[in-house]
Amino acid sequence: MTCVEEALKKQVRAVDLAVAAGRKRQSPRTGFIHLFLNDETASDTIPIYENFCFALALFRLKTGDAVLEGKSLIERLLAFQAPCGNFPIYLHDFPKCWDPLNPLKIAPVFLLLIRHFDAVLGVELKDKIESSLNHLLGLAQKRRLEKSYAPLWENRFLACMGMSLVDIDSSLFSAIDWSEWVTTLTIAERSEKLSIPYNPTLESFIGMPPLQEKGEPRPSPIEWILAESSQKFSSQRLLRDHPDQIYCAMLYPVLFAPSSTEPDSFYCGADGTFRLLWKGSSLHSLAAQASQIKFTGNQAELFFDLSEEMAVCRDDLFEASLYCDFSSETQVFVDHRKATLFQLGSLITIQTPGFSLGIRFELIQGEGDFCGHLYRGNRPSQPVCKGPRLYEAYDWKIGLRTLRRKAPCQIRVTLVRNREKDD
Amino acid sequence: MLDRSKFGIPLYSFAMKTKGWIALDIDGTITLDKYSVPQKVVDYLRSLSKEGWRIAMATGRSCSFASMALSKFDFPYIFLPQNGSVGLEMPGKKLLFKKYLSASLIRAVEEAYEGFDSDFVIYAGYDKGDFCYWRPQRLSEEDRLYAENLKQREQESWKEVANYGELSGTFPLIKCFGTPIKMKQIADRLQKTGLFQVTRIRDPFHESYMILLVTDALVSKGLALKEVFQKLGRGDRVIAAGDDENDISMFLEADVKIAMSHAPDTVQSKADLIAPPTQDCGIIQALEMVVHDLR
Repeated sequence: MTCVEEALKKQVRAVDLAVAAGRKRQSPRTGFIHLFLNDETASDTIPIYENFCFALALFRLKTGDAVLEGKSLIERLLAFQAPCGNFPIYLHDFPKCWDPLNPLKIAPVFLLLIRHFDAVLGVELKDKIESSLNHLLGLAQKRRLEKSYAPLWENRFLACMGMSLVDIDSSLFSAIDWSEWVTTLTIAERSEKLSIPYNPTLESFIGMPPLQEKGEPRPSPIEWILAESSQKFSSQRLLRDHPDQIYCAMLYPVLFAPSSTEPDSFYCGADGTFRLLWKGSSLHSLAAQASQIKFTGNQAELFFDLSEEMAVCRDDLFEASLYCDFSSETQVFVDHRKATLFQLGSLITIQTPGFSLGIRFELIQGEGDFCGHLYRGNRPSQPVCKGPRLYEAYDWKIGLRTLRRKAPCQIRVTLVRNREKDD
Repeated sequence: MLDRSKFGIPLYSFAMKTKGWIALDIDGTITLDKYSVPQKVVDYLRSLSKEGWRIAMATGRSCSFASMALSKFDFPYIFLPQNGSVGLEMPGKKLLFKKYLSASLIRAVEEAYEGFDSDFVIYAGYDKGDFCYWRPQRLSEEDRLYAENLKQREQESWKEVANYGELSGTFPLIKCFGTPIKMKQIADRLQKTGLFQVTRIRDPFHESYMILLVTDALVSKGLALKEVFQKLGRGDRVIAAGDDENDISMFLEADVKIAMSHAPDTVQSKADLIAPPTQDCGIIQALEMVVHDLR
């Protein structure tokens, strides 16, 4: 074996993470993955699609024991196909099937099993899978006649049926959409080079921002597979255990052109969604929801239109806010000093090793009095603050509180990044 | 009717319908030992043979060196030594086919060695006594020691010659050996000629050395299997198992491909199943799983 081959062999594979994530959630009593999709701490439900994914991941390991276990799981899961042809979201739901897209999620598992593991499936199981697949696709076809699918799922249906795909605009794909699209392309046996907004330096998807998960953006299956494809798989964010890694079973390495390799990345959505990502000991981010954004080189200008009349009784009078993840290496200064209050025109600086960002709030239209506050909070896209984490705060909130104003006003927030050195 | 028992071939194998073929590499797949195959594996393969499976043993080893390892095989099998340059029906050693290199091609190999302080060895073939020609004076000190070790472990008689130009006739295999970088460069040069089939394998007994098996352009384990199928029939299913890149061609002819756990990614990625480690006789578990499903 050559040195290169040795190195490749040691490289992390997304499918290994899928198996590890499955194993961590597998019940020694039932053999199934126990997972409740909306609450990671709950472990009494058995999700069907995730268990199919786990079974496929076991097949992809190709070892005798894993294949036998995968076969046993598939065999047991097939028993939960409802008379309508669909599978329930959770095993205990049987025979009620709430997810109309489940046929198009599960059918690719079966197609991949038949395509890649025909030799080890055995005649009996293969027949059962083919029969189940026919029911799933029959149901999908029936549903399609009743109500057309969105383009992403229409293409999934076409791919599963072995038909040509229709054109699709991927420019607004979220990370989840990309994961589904790559699965569709795999099923359609298309292996073109993809232009996915992914930055291998940050090891992050840099398109439409996903939910935040504690201090970092929630990882997505497409990121795991792109990290493997770009042979750069080192960030703790991607390597640490995550339930969504189970979905990597559906993804194979792809050819793609990285959209950026810079150590930081701006996302400016047409709807005013703003996010800046930069590299540190974790993946840092600054997020905001502005009215409009102008972006030039190292500088971004966020405009907050305060057009409606101010309601004095509102609980939240922060009408222009930015959120920056809180971490041990993040320092925030106001006019170069530690402070928690700032004024319009103050220079707020966010610093992490090798990177700093200057922020200035200005009133460029209208009249009013405002007071800036720096305090711990959570961005709106932070979903984990519930149950025992209800009072946890994972961000610095840098917000401008309205004291009084006459509508309409416009606040401009100027952001200037400064890379002290490129790591 | 031919009385096969006279040739030492048990009757049972021909009385049953063939279920298919099981084609196996030797080193690293069924054994880690130079001179024997674990009794457990021999017994298991014998039981499969009795069930109606036909066994083919394909190896990069020379005929006599491989025969040593297969000495306990007392059931019928097809023997494809020297990377499949010859096919023998065993245990009667009946020749099924042979595809040898002509002496005129030796010059092309010498040209590929230009600029390298090393040399290659040429196998004479089982029909000439299975010895090997070599030119020790052309080898570097390190390569000479390696060659001596190779000669000793393969327990073959090596014939020293001053010049390969004096050789005539045909030869099954040319073996090149050296560091992976050197072997890659020589393999590239040889492949460019289009005259040879060049297979790179790790030396399972010497980690820092790579071996090039240079055979006729139409020789590989896979092509040898194909030839066997043409002559003896393919049966319902073909199962192939191996652990190195020269086994990939065999995978192309198989319905079920088994790679060993230590096989490089290039081999494992083409396999349907990865067998447990060879030292645990993992091939038995893998074959049992596949055969069981096919029964």
